[in-house]
Amino acid sequence: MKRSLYQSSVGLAGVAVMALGLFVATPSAEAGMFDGQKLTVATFGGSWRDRIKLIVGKAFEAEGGTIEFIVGNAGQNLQSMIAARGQKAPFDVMEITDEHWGNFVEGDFVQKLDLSKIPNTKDVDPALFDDFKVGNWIVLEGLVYNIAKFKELGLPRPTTFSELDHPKLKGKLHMSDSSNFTGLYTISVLAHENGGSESNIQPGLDKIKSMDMHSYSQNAVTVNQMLKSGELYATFAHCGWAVRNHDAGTPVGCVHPVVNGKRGAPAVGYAAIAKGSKNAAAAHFYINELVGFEMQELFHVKNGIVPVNNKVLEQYYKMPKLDSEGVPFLILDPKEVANFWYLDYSKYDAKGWQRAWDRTLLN
Amino acid sequence: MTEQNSTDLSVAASGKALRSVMNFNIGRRLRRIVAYSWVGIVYSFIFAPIIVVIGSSFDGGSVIAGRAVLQFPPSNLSLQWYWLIPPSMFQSLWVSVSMAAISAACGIVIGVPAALGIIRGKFYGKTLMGSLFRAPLQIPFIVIGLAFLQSYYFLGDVLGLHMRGTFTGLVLGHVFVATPYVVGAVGAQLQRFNPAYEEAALIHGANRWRTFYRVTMPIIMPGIYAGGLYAFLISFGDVTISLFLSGPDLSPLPVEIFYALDNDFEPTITAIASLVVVGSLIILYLIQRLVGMEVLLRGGGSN
Amino acid sequence: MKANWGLVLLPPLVFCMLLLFGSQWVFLRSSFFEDLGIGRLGTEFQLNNYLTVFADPFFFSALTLNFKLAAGVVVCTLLVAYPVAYTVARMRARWAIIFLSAIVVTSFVSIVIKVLGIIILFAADGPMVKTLKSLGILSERFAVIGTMPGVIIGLTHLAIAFMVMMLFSVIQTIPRSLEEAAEIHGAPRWRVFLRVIIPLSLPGVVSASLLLFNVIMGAFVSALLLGGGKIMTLPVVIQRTIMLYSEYGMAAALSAVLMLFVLTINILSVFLVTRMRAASSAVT
Repeated sequence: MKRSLYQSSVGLAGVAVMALGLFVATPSAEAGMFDGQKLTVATFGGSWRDRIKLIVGKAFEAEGGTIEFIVGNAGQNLQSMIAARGQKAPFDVMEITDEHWGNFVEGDFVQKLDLSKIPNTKDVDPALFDDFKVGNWIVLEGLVYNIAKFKELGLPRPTTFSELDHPKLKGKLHMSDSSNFTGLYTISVLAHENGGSESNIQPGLDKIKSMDMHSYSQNAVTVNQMLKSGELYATFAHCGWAVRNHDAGTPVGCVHPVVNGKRGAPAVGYAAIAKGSKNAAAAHFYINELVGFEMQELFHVKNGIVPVNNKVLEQYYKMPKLDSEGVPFLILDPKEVANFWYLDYSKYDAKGWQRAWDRTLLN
Repeated sequence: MTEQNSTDLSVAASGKALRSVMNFNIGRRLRRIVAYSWVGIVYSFIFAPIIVVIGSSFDGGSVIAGRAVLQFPPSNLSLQWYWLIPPSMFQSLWVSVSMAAISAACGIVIGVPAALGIIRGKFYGKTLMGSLFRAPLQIPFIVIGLAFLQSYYFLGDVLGLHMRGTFTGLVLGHVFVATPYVVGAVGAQLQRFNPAYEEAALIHGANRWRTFYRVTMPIIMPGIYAGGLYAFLISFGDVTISLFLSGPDLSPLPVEIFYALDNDFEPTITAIASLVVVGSLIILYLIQRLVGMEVLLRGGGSN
Repeated sequence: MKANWGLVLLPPLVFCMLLLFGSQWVFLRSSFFEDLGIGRLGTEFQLNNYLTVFADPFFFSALTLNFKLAAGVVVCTLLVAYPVAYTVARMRARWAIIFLSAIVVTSFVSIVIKVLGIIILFAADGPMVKTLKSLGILSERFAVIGTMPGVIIGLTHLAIAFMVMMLFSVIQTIPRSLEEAAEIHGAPRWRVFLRVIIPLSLPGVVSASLLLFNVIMGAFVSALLLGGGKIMTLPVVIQRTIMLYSEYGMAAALSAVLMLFVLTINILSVFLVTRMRAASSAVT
């Protein structure tokens, strides 16, 4: 039976469409830069990792590679490097923070960087990166307090840490102890506010004792839970926590400490390449994307960190995120950023601080 | 004086008897109510936190915003978090299950002969032997974890045998704590039963293997099940030892959950916890079908 | 024939002793060397680590805190779990199975999840704590995190299931006929309990309690989460010594002290109980 003209033209069109589709769908012959390579990254888990996957992960996959994420903060990464000793590096890129940096250097755990492979550093403040590490997030340490609860108690918006030493707040405060860098900032600020400094933290510790706090261990989930339920009225944490709690429905605000006339206490997190990593090129690519505009923008908007990328800062400082009273959570104005107070890590003595803490506050 | 008094006495006596019987019955019923209420209270107490967590896994709040805290009671019931459980969580679950099962199995293979040897063997120093096998129970888990970790480093340095972060390494640590449970449970069973059974079988001409299979095994089966179950549960739920012995791509579920607490809270954790509860119900149902839970009632033991 | 059983013992013995003494030797050995930081150890045999442990009152207080916690938890758990175990042990088999299975199911749930649930359940603003506070049972400053009573309650919560299981297997070995015999002879219920059930279950109760005591003394995760950084038990201190300072030698010294303490308590308890039993049987 002869096919109608209609039927054959439809058939022809169908074949043409399929051929076109095949042509479009076939990947280009050009290979990705990191075809088949697997990069192992040790960084924070949860939403942090998910957001990195969205931007950096995608970019890396576009070049044919895959990223495997391991959960690890600076302390855990240090332990992993110690454990690996001699064997191959357990990961390629790792998170490092200042209080552990000395240990990483002493153990020779970090590989030298080729900054020419990280061009995005042109948008980053030179103080935040060097030949061995590149800053990829900044958090502003401060005081996260429940605005509604403070109003209820008739307490004004705090301006210093020490004023939380108040009878109505006994057993309602929380801070991180010196096992976490946030705790170091809290201790230092309180020391400064009470006549001490990083070389003499005892006044700060005495203040903490007098504040009679609820607990001292920074466990994000439980602390946020307690802020919401009202078991805690305030916690000494970085303002990213305030952003997250605010988004989850608890009316919190953030107060930045003032030390020696400088307002704002940034803590920096760096990305570095583990010594012995075989994927240096891929690692450089990763770090570059990490400090690029899109990633830093997402970090800022969603996680409440201060971006290291100046272009993001310039765009967003004009539209900061506000708490329920209209006060911005973060300090983003470049003029104010220039007036940050930096913790003097050269005076930081891990064992000494821990011993003093234990003796003053525990058991 | 006589007849009237005796009737009075008997009436009085029977009245007293009736009253004491009634008191006894009321007393017993009261006691029963109190006992069952107590059980009810304690059980609700035990289950409440689990129900809270499982309940919050059904929360239909915003996926983005509601991440900081647990929502209980849940608002707008939804199964969304169940679909969002990352594959790495299921991988961890599989690691946990396989690791626990293998540890329990090894514990049985090692523990049963040990128990038989200790209880039925004839030699001096039986108590010492028993204590040696149960010694791991006295060591805090953190010390076990650390000791095994150090030993694995040592083996790595000296023999080039790298066990840290390997599945075998992880299982070995758990076998260490699993075996004493099996030895204890099987030993208790053996102690309760007369070796005369075995001797009788032997006298009647059964060879040693037959005796073992037909007489001894059924006797110790409850102990094996109970010991094996304890071993599985300890291994499945362990965080401390696994924290030290697990590696980046080999972490059991409890360790994953532990790390997740430090960072962002993920309601998907509550979802997988509920799945674990469902899974355990299935396992128990299977045990009931295949073996019958009465076996566990007779088993277990402490000494 | 009898000698054969001894042979059966040999392979497991070798394996287990290798694991036990091998791992402990490698670990405890490092306590006799100096920590050089970054996980490295010195080469000279010395007792400095132990000297530091005994000289610094902080470690001793951590140990006593641990002990108080463990003792408190064991007592509370016993009080709560014994009646439950007894009631379930005297139930009909079908019901007993259901109640036991329920306990087993809770044991499948990760401890971290349970602690999270406990924290929510005992939230200071939550209905449960509010009622208890208004009844005066709990003080105004009660919190399940960071206070001794709170941590004891939290740990008891976690221990009840374990204890019920252990006590159940002990109690159900006591034949019901014994109780019935005592009752027929006119003994009131409380007397039956005191004179028959408790003494017969005592050895099992003691060994279950010791087991729980050991577990709590070594408790790390629950102590970490519930302790809130204020209740610093020795296992947490040991973990920090590793995680924060990589001082494996010091950690080993602390562990040795902990183990020695736990062992001593265990031996003492068994000794005391045997003495008590000898005394009571001498009287009867």
